Amino acid sequence: MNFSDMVPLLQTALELGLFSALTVLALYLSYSMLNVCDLSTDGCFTMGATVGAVVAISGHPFLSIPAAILAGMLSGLIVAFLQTKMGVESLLAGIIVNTAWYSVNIAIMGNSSLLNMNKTDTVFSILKEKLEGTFLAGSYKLIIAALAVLIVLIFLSFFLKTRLGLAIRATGNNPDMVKSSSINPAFTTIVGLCIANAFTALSGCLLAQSQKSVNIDIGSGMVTIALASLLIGGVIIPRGGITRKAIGAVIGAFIFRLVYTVALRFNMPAYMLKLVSSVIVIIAISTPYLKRQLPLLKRRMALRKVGTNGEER
Amino acid sequence: MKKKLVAILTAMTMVLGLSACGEATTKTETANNDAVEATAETEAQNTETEAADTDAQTFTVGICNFVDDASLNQIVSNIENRLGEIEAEKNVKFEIKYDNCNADSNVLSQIIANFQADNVDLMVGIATPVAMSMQAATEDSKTPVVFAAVSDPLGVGLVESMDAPGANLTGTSDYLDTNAVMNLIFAQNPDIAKVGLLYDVGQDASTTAIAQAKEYLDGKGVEYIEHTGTNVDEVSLAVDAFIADGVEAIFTPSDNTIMTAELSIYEKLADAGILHYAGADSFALNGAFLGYGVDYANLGVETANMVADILLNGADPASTPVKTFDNGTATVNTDICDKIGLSFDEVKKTFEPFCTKVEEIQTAESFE
Repeated sequence: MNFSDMVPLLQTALELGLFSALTVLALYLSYSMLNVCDLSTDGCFTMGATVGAVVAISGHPFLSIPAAILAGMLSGLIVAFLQTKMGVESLLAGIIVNTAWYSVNIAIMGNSSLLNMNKTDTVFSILKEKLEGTFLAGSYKLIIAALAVLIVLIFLSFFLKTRLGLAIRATGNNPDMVKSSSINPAFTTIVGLCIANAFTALSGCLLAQSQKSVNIDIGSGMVTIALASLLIGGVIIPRGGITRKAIGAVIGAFIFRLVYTVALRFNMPAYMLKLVSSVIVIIAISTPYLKRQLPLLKRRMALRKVGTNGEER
Repeated sequence: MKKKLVAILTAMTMVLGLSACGEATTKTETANNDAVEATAETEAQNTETEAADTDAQTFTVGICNFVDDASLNQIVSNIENRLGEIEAEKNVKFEIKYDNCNADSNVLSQIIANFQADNVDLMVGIATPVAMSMQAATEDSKTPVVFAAVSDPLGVGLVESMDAPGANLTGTSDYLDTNAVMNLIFAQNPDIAKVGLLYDVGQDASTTAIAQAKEYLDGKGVEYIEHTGTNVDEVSLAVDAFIADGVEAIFTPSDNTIMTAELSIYEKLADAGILHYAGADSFALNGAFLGYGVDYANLGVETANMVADILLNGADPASTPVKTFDNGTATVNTDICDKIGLSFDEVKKTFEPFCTKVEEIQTAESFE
């Protein structure tokens, strides 16, 4: 194995990392800011992929992206509506919608579980043609993924500083205080989930188009991957403003994929990867805790030493 | 900052540690595969394998399976065995890299990228989603791809036509002749009044077959009931519903979801006296009354032959026709015959006019 072999592998990891970074940013908004664990993420991701694919196949490559975003917003609206207006527990609302989307996604694909976009014009194939012959020819996926992540990052860091954005952050922090400031927490939850799910759907749409096919399982496990990436990001950049933390989330997504790449490179069978990712998440979560405990442990050790010395004397 | 680095490094070290357990996945198949040689090969593979064997030409083949089930695993083992035989016959070496993405499309992309980093000479994609991802990944590199067990390669756009695929992909198809199975149901029980259709809506391979089955049953004026399931639990519930509905026979196409659930439903069906007709012999192995269709062992062998033809004889995938099989083999489970009170010899006599071969099998978890 030499370094030139690794470059395309790193590129694939970076591409996949950036595509899923959009979902990680969605969870950054819904989980970290709004304090809602949105379990409809898997279904919404697949919905973005299927809607995007169907629109692209019908001959509208550029329209496919806003269409997927709209589908995501609709999905978020339904989840939020269920939990704020229908009295459904937030976790349950996500699970119910996620289950329902399985049927809906197959219906969107026209009663099929997979669609092939090999001969379809997508934003990727269009950019690829444009870049042909230039030195950027091989990195068209990377360019689109990076652009999408950049736009979402900029949007998030501006949006969360607006009045509405601050209200959303406050809802996650202290809903009672928000209520007493005469802001409707139901409204902020709905807006927050709509935006978050729009990112998730965009993420699914771009991943499917870059892979040139959608199947019904494309989103399975996305919520775990995204949460893990978010937590890894939190370890890399523990402090700072919302923009810095959001960048940390993106880096987390890349590291998550990188670990998979390294594991596969060392001939680990693919089924072991889930165990690896669990170990990574445990390390990511427990590191800050152990770091806090370290001085205490040190003091205990020191005390014990003194204690034993005392006995000897 | 230092501590963060330590955390990342620890993570990486653990990965490396775990990967030691997985070393066996890269198989270097040799004609006489003794253990010492195999270990030596694995250790040397990252450095200079080619220098060691200058007399034999080495080809690297990346095989990716979609999910573990009796049919698909049977294909993999037959491809590997057949390639081993060809090694001995033609004095070549196939370095086989095998991985299974367990139906995760992100991991699938990374497995394929990993194959490409290894500069594989050819990729084998088992089941439709793998074949489709390989198609997209090899668009520029034009690495030959041989797919296996793709039910409808034309319909999903893998090939331009069955005789001349037109690009770097060709392979074997397990297309199921639905009417042939339907004929068997009516041969066994000409007065059948209610047929159940059990499948997974998420399995693309089932869609066409179920539509054909409905058309056939509509033509006969026989009532049918359909229930679907997307995982083992739901399939179990669907079977309970069939028993309550009082169907006399159930038809399932070559559906991977029902296949994985077969071992948990066959006893219920046998107790209720319902005959389960399914679209692959592996169903019968796992307890269905009858499995009809492609012999996956043979399909694996033919896939391996195609791989050898492309690598050794320079055959062009673009003009190598997709291979389909004569769906002539009916595999009947004799355990189920006994339980329901049918005699295998009579069943054989009934089915013989409708298929080229009737074979018997007993319930087991996997093929030997």
